[in-house]
Amino acid sequence: MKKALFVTVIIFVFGLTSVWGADTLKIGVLGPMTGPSSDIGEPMMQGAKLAADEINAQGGVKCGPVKRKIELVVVDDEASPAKSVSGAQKLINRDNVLVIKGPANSGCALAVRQVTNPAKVVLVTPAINDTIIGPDYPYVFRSSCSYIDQVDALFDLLGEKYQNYALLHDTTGVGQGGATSFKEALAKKGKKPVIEETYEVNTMNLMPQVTRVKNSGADFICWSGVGADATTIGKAMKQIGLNVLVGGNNGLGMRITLKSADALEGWIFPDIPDKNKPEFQQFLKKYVARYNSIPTYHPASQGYDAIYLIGQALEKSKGEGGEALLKAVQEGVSIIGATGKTGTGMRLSKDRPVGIASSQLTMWRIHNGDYEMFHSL
Amino acid sequence: MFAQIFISGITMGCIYAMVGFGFALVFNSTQIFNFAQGEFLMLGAMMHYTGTVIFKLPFALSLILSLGTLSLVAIFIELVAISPLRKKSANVIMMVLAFIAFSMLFKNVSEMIWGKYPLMVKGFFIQEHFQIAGIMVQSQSLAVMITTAISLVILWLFFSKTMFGMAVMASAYNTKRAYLCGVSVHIMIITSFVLSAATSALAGTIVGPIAFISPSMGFELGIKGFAAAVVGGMGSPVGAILGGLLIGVLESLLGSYVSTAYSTLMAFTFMLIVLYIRPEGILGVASR
Repeated sequence: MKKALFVTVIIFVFGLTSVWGADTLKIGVLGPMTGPSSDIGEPMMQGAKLAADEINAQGGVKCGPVKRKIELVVVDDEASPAKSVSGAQKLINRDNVLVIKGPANSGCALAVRQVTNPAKVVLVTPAINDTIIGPDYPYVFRSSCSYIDQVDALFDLLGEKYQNYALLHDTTGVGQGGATSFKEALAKKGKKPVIEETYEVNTMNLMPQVTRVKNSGADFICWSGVGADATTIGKAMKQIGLNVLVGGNNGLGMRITLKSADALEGWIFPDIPDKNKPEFQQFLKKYVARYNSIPTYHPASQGYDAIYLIGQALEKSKGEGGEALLKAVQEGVSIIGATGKTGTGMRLSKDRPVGIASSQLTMWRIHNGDYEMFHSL
Repeated sequence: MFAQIFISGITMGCIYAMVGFGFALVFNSTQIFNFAQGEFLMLGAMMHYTGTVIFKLPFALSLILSLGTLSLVAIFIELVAISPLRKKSANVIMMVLAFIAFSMLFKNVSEMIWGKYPLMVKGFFIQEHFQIAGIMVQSQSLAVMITTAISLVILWLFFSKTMFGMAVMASAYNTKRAYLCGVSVHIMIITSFVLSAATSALAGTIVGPIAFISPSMGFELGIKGFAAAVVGGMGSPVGAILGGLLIGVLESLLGSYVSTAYSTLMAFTFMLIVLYIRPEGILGVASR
């Protein structure tokens, strides 16, 4: 009798424990937490953690009659497509995540979608290469804007002020993708770049590239790449007296660019946060209070908003992943959060797999050692 | 414009020359290629960063920290890996593999200590640029050229005017004869290692402020330093310097006037052409 009671109690306790253990909603966070792109990966992860903790503080995500807490499983892909793929495989097969937030780099996202799409795992990536999203990849969504949106916003600002555009980009997915977007946008204006120069990431001597751009007679440089190399270009431009305006992608918002801000004075770029938006200001305050550092704005804000969107979708799918989660996202999820112009927010649906549209972008420039929002040249 | 392109080529050429010089020194004394030479450069840059940015030491002290640390690393490698392998008459390939293993070890340890994030180091001068004869020159480029010239002069004086330096050369030229003359060959080999590490560390210190430093910076510069040593003539320190300058200038000129997409390719093609015409390199060991 005593034995039977003991066994019953044990089974009851283990049964309860297994119910409790299955309570969390696992979300994978995949990105470059270390390395040259960590200025993007780490804020994305920390923004996501902030959102997850806020949601959990309210009891978690409502899945039918019960609330389940979010559990983030973080994997560092070091901005390497190979490591990103193996990271995604680990998240899907070993950690059994319901959805993956990331990767942050375009090359990684292009590789990882080949894994997540067949596995029917929703991927919410901030990577901006335009070819990442497509009808062949219904499970892939973007928690940011597309590269072409950034380029459109930039050219809307420039108008017809410049005639001779040079392309200067690195050989990564962002660099190459950006160059393609710039060329498309120029073609719409009936123009072609007067020169296109490339370089490998972390190259120490970019004087040949900058020299050729100067010799081409370009009056505007379209730059596309990772932020750290911009400083090498800026220094070379100063050395040879190449004083033309440079516009690039929001990689210029990586905080490493401020370490050589004088070399990049005046460089402009579109971005997804709005410094004047109350929700962004609130988010930034919370972020700084928690992490004691100012992040690169765009990965942090979209990492934060994306978790809230994912939470909404999980609520609709009652905590289910796979096709149920996809259907929930496709039906539409939205938030007026830290990302997007004031009064607008991130929105995902079947017809809108890209969370931020070009009309929601703001224009920034590097000025006096900091980032400054502006409206016209 | 040509002057600026040439100067940027000479700047990078100086770095390749110093790394190549390190390759030549170790090859002379051990007949092995030290494929950790690029990582010596990287570690030198990292130690200089540690001295100036983290410990906020004056420049001279930070430089001593960088050179001193790398000298100790070189002694460590020689005593722990190379010397035991030589005593066991290990195959040259085993010793090369040992260097490659150290190269990977240093890169990974650096990533653990300093992270993989690019780090910025201030230049030697407060002013970013100087105007010299109407040409705008990056101040750090000037620092690179001056430092390279001074250090190579000091090394030349050491090898040609001091007994110790001449003993190192003698030991590299003919180990047995040097031993018979009472030269401690092992000490000479260690000295070669120390000088090669210090030269590369100095190169890392002066090249760091030009762009930024990271644990991955050693690989490409190491490969180009190796190419410099091969083009100049393996075993010829003067040849390595010449080879480094040639590769740096070619890379810059070809990149600016032909195509940047193929500048490195063209520089290495030049290396192959030199080796085809003169397999021992421009100032090969035979002509030393």
